[in-house]
Amino acid sequence: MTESTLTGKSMDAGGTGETMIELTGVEKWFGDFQALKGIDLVVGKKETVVVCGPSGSGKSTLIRCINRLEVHNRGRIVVDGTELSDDVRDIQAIRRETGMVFQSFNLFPHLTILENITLAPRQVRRKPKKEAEQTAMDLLTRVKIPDQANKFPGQLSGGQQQRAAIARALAMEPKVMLFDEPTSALDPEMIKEVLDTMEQLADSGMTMVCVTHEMGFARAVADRVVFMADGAIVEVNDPETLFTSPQEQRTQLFLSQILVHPS
Amino acid sequence: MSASTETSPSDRAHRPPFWRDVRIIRIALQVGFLVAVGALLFWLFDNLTVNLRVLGIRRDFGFLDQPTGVPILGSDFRAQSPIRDALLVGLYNILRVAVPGILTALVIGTLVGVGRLSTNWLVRRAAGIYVEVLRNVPPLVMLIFFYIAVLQQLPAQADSITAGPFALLNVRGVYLPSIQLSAGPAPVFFGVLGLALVAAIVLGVLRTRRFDATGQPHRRVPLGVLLFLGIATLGWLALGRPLGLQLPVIEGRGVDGGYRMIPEQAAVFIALVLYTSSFIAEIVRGSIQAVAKGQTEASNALGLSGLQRLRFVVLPQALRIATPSAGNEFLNLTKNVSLGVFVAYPELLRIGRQAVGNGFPAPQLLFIVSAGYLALSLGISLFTNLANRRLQLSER
Repeated sequence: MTESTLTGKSMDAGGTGETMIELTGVEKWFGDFQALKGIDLVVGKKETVVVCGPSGSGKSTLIRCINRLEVHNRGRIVVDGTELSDDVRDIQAIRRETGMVFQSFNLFPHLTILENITLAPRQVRRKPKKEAEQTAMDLLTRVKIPDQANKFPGQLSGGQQQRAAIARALAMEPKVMLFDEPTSALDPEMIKEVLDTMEQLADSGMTMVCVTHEMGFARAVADRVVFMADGAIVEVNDPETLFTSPQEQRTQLFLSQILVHPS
Repeated sequence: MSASTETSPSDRAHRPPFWRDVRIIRIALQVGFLVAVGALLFWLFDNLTVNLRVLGIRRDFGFLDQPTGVPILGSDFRAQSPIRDALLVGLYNILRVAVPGILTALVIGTLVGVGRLSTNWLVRRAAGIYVEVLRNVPPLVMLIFFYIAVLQQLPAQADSITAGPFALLNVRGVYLPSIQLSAGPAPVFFGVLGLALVAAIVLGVLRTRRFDATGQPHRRVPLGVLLFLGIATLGWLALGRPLGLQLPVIEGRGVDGGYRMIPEQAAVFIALVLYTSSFIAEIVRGSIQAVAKGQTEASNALGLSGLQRLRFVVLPQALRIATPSAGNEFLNLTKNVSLGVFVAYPELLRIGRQAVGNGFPAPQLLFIVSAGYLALSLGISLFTNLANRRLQLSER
């Protein structure tokens, strides 16, 4: 009966209890390779969900399906009441409400940090320039790099770039933030500043889905941790239970491997 | 610690013997190289002057004032005019192909290059075939093909191929409409055009300000163009249509009006535009593909539309990558105009060779021909370098 308890945990919306993201039976193929094998998951409003698992388990594909950077082949994805379909209007609506932070930052190298942050609010949300810049400066202050506003991304350290990328995503005032291994490309001393920013964001009530290997962050911030392997969800639980007494053998194996060699 | 950082090892008491001292070796090598090059140049020059003297060939440039002796194809140049003027016509004939050629190749190349990335199968394949065929045939072969197999086979004037009243195509050349100015109000009309341009720019600035203040779409380009055309049309009508198209018309044994491209010029133009545009297409395709995939993903994740993504994120970065290579292609096109010598297109090299054949001194003429091409190339180089620097500066 492990199957039913698993589904129960993964469909339990945390946070306020209201549903923000709902995935049912999501499947994804890359050619003959099935990357997602029927994912069921509900993320509640103001909830922080951490997705972890071995490399190639489909974590990134999962969150990239939520804002349609990857197109799912089967199943339903509903974000804040809008179902992801082939309709451009639905796709744009969901992308406007969903901020994303990438492993490799993906800041626009030809624009200053301020321009990076104000581009989408001005072009997509049609905000006046002054207002967009004011918001951008507030966000930069929040991620503690207001003095970098007029520099280009190449002049910033990795940690500063990633915090600028977080500010860029937040400038669109999204209802959901997706983090795709945001600290994996960073030097150890810069990981903390990014995680602090993310923790602060979670405390402020943002709905967050984070793919990360930072177990300390997961323990401190996550409402639930999703463990994935081979394109399927293996186990979902609160971080304390999942890390200290994992139910599934696959989870135990993974945890023993990362705990022996903490990165 | 401080001592070792303040003085480099070579400043210490025991310097290495001079033949092992990198600083002395570096200077000695450069001096040696300069001396060798200078000696070689002196030897070549000395050899030339001695031999010219033995052969009794003049070494001055006084011949430039002598009459050319032959007319120039497709020009109202007269045989009595001095060589100097003939060479200037040659220089002008290079530009006559190179400037419109560069612009046309850039437009076609950009369209084909973007076409190669199209999601439409047919467009993608057609663009692919265009590139693969044209960039793999030597330009000289294409030139001779168009000259002999196409342009020389066109019908006689009486049976000209026509494109409505606008263009004529026959064995004597390609005739296109030209712009005709009426002497009186034309300068006034240019004033009106200038005014229209200023008005359009002012409108653009105002629209941008409004966009900054309210976020409402500015549409400054279409509005500006509309305003410009509106004022220009009004001025044109008010001044009694001072500017008109002059269409080529067959008049007896000749063609009256319009712009004539002699078959030789048309062959060079077509061959070089097709050849160069295939390379520009590859540059455009490569530059767009070279913009990291993450940039597209980040734009999508932010909710930018496809056009906004191209306009604000992909194209500014692709342009930066494309400029230096595109500049090379512009240079190649300009220098390849010299292939026109094979179809007797009177560009600089052809004029120079003709003059040599008529007994004018070869060393000076070859020097002038080289200098002419060099000057044009350096001009284009300078232009692309400036464009390049401007684009690079906006990076950081």
